[in-house]
Amino acid sequence: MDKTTLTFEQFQPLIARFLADCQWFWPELLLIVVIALLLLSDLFLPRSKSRNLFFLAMLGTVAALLLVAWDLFRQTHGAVLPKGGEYPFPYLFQGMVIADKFAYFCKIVVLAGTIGVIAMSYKEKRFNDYTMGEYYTLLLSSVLGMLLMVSATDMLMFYLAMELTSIPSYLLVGYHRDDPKGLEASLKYIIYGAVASGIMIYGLSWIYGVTGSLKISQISLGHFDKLFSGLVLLMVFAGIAYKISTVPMQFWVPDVYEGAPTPVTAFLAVTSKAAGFAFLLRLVHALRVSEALPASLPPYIFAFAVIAALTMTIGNFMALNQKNVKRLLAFSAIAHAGYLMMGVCVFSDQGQTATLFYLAGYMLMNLGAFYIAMIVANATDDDNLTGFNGLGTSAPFFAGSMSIMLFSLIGIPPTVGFVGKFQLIASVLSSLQTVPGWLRLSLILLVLIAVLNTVVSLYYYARILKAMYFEESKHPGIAPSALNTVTVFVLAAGTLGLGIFFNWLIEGAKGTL
Amino acid sequence: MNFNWLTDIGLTHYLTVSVVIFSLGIAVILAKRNAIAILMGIELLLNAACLNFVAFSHFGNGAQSGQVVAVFIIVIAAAEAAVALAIIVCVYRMFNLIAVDQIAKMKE
Amino acid sequence: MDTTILISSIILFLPLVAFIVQIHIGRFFKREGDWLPTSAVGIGLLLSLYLFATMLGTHPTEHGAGLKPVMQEWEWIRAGSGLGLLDIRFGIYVDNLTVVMLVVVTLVSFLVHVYSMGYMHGEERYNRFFAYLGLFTFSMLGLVLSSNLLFVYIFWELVGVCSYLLIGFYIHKDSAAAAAKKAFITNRVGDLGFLIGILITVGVAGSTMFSDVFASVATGMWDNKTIHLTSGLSVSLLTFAGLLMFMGPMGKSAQFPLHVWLPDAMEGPTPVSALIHAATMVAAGVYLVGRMFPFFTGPGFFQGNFFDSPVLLSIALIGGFTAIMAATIAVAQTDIKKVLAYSTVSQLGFMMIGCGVGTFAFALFHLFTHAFFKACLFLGAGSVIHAIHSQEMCDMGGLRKKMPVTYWTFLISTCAIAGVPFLSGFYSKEGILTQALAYAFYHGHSPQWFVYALPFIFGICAAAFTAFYMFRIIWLTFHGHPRDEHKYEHAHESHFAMAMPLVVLSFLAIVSAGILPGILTGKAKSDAHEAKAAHAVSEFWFVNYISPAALVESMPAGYEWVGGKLQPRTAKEQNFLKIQESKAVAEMHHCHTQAHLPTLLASIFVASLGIFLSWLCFLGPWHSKNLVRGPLKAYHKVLVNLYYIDWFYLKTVVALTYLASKICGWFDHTVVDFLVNMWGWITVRTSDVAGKVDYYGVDGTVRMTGAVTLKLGQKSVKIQTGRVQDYIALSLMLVVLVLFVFMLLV
Repeated sequence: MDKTTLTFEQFQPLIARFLADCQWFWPELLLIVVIALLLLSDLFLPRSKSRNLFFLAMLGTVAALLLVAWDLFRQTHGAVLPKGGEYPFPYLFQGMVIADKFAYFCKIVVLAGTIGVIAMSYKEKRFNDYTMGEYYTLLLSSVLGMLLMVSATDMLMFYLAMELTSIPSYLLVGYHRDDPKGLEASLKYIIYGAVASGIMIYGLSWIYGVTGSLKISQISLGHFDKLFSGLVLLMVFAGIAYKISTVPMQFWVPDVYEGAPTPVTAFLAVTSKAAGFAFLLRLVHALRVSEALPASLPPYIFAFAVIAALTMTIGNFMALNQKNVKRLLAFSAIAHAGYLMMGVCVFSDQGQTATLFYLAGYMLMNLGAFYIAMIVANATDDDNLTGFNGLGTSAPFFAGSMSIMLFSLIGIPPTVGFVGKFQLIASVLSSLQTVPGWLRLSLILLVLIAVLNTVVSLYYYARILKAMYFEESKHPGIAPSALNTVTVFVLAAGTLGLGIFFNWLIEGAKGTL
Repeated sequence: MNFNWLTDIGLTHYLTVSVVIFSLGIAVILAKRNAIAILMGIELLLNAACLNFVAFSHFGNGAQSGQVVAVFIIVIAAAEAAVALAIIVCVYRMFNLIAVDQIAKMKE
Repeated sequence: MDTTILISSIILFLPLVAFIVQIHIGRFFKREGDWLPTSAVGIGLLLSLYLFATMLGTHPTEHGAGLKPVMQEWEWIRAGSGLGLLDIRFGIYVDNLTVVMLVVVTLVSFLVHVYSMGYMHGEERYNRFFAYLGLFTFSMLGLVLSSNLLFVYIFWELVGVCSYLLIGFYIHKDSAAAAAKKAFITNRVGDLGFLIGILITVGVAGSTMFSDVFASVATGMWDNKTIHLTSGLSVSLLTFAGLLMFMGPMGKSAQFPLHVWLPDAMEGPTPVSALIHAATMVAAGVYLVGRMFPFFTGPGFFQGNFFDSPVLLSIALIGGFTAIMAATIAVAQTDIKKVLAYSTVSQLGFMMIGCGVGTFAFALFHLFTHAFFKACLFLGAGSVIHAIHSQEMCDMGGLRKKMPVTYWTFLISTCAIAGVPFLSGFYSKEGILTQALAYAFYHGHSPQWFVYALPFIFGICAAAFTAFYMFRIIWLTFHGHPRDEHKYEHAHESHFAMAMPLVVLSFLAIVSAGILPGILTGKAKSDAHEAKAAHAVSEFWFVNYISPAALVESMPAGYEWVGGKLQPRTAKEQNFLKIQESKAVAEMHHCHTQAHLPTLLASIFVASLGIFLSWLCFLGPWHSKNLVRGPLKAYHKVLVNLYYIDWFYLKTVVALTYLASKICGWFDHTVVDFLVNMWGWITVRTSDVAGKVDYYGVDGTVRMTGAVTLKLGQKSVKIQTGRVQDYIALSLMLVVLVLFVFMLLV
């Protein structure tokens, strides 16, 4: 027995603090309740009715979103904040989780994306043969994991959150048990994901070892050998890279996106990526601020810049010859991860703002693209580009919305994609003053590569446009549906609207610094 | 002859072992075609990390949180293994084999 | 703005506005809009008469009678500065001479407008005719109102253009088109000299304003300036410029040798002949000589010596020669309009004699009276032509009974032109001939006295011939037996629109000298007293207003630039152009008094002789003698062929021009076109090459880039082998690679 025994008196404030912290944890708690309800109701509802669990899931997510907004509101308008303990508010639960504006921003993005995904799930035709209770359970569990991931400040917390995000998604990918592609995708996904997370935790163990603490803010590798530090950080980055689908861990993306059911693909592409980038930004911020790095910044900037450039290029070039829409969008997702990486690689506040803005916009446009792809695949039973043939005449509204999404993905004004890319490139260019000469050249080269990649991406996005407007349609039209129309409309309007009125979002992203 | 380095088991020994296990794990993952074998390799990875955590927590002068992490890792490993096996069963039902390099219809 | 200037501007621009409206939308008005230019000119006439009355109402002063000259200038072009300053101004200058000319132009123009309403009735392009008349009136008014030579030149040319348009009005007649061309080109030759003269003036005087030009002559800027034509032959620059400048009037007023266009101009409608070729345009030349009289006289003008200028002598000689030559040709013409045309040439020659011998006042007086009776003659001829439908006198005869109004007005005008006493033409001719004889007396002591006597000799002979051929017309047209019975049957008097102008003009032909009314009202004596008291030159009202003193003294000194605005210049003295008292005027006065009686007798004698001889030949006993076919056959042939002058021009000038144009055409066709075509061929080839470069080079690059990218994409995507272990292996390799890169930099 050592001297550090805990007495009841020492416990008391801890429990008080714990309970106070729970007051700020409502979204997650709500989600836990909803997950439990979903799981239970899945036991009792027959298969045919299980689709209606959509409403419960939707309700829960919307409520969670509202709770997040309420929490934010509360925080800024003088509520009683928890006191006591080593870790002051906004750190919750003894420094495991943080409830700052950054976390709220990302939680809103994730939950908004989830609402879209749940809407998609309701409409996915191939789910008709399966019970949906498990589906929504897995989905919301993954969401819970993401909520924790964006607010994690402890390495253990992060690892747990990441696993909580990933493991349900392994199952979600293979939800179509009768689809060979889905199962193959699921297998590849889990093997790859497990390896990635294994490498990551190994790296984290080394960091723990040399630092003596699991907290992110306590990382300081400044006094250690550069090779060692570099390797260790790289291992951690490998795990994160897997989540955000950048080089070197982007190989799973095409197969998994192609094989998974479309709502799940959208979910992976949008929310999972957002959560991963959120944590990466937090890590980067912490490292930058606490001078935890063994060397000065420039080599890291360069390394990240190389990663960003490679990711963009690989994503765009490999997409050129794709025929399957989901595979094409998968490569496009890799490319966008590369663009987002640009914002991260400069290690600056402006970069963080740009990345957050682009994540929010990316959520809208990618969700829209996948949504319409799903609608088309449902209507025409054709997963390839040929499914889009003649959409301009048979379903002008969806074709138009798809065009808006595509323009946004390409980066054409006045869509949010353009504004986001502009912000990212601007953040790289504005960091040019603070970096040494050789790095300036590389960063300019990076911007150039980004722009050229945008041009290349135009080709494969335009192929969809071409199919929609310049090809004859051999398939029947698309059945009208209120949910589809409303959701697509909201997404398209959001893409365009944010492209024009984007200042508020930028201010919001800046406020999270 | 000084064989202290053999007899006095210190941090280094643990770390070395964990490195070896990690490398073996990678090797297994890359070399084996059988999906379950790959799963075993993954377990090796996680175990290496686990070992690391415990070693550091014991020998390092800091908090004991390393051992807590080890427990969590075991839990995660178990969950992952369960899920992986479930997926492998489904795959086997569909393809009648679990050779990973042959379940590769989606390419390029 | 001064009221006079305002009125003058209205008079000037009304016909222009009428032209612009008439040429575009005149067709759509009632009666094709003939009332529009007519009323514009009518208003101008009323305003001119108002100014005229103002002029007459002013009491004579020491410097002469009439209006104080006013001038107003507006800036047109101002560019450059210092030595390179280009400062062109448009100015209106109104003095007595201007007012008189305004009356002449507007009155005759108005009457011609009215006449045309009858004569041109039913003609195709009727509205255009009136539009052109309006434009012509505007040009002529501008010419007389201008205050500087440049704008005189501009309006000079414009008048020529109108003449061209109007002569060639019958567009379907080839002869009319050819005549219009001839008129314009002949005028152009004269204008060339005019322009060079203006340019020399600008070079010496620095400006084209009349006051500046006269000042340059007065202050001796032309002294010691000579021009060496060939070795040993040099003339004073002023003389040279004067002679060149006179080429303009030579062309415009049809002096020898540029007279050839006027007879051919009779191809135009008769009202046109009346307006332009009798009364106004041809008078522009005389007006110019009158206006620029100080310039032509030279420095002697300001010493009061108007009689020693070589330029003026040349003018007188040319005028004299023209007068006699044209008069002789007129004798042999059978077309009534041709006779009148040559008569005009002859009378213009008379006016030039007047200018040359020093009495430009009487020259202009003759212009004034000639305008009226010549216009009346032309309009009367038009009336006859309208009735007979033929212009040849062979078809006429005995029309006196059929067309009484025409006959009597024509008779009055003929008497006026022939120099029958008490009619206006007599007085003006008298004045000129008296001065010509006085001029001869003045130079009686000089070794070349014969040359100085020539103007008078030419004048008197021309007067004789004038009486002869003018009365010939009367006898052949209105007296005797009708030569063509058929035409005679259909002849009738013209209706009111055509007859009224005739009456008005013949009335003016009688009274415009001012003597007859004066005698009738008894004012003549008191006027003569007043005039003597005022040192007036003569008892003729006209000459009082147009004296050399009136021409230059009280001339406004013009404008100059002060602070970016045009300000009237303050004359250095009260009258900065002053004619000094000199012996020459007194001596000339003496000669003049001497010449008075001989001239009177001579002119009455030759007029009577002419009338009697013509009666003899055409109505009397010699009528049947057929002199033309007999003894006078050779002379007649020469006259009919117009002294072969036209034939000469045709063979030399015209032929040379055709040859030159042929050569130029060949050059253009062979050389220039070849170059142009070659250039075109080069351009086509170059663009071909550029196109190929663009297609294969530029587009090729673009396409190549696209193809390379696609190929890269195809090749790179093969990494995704589909096997997860490959993925893991690749990932690990990439991790190591990144680490390697990182380590390189650190």
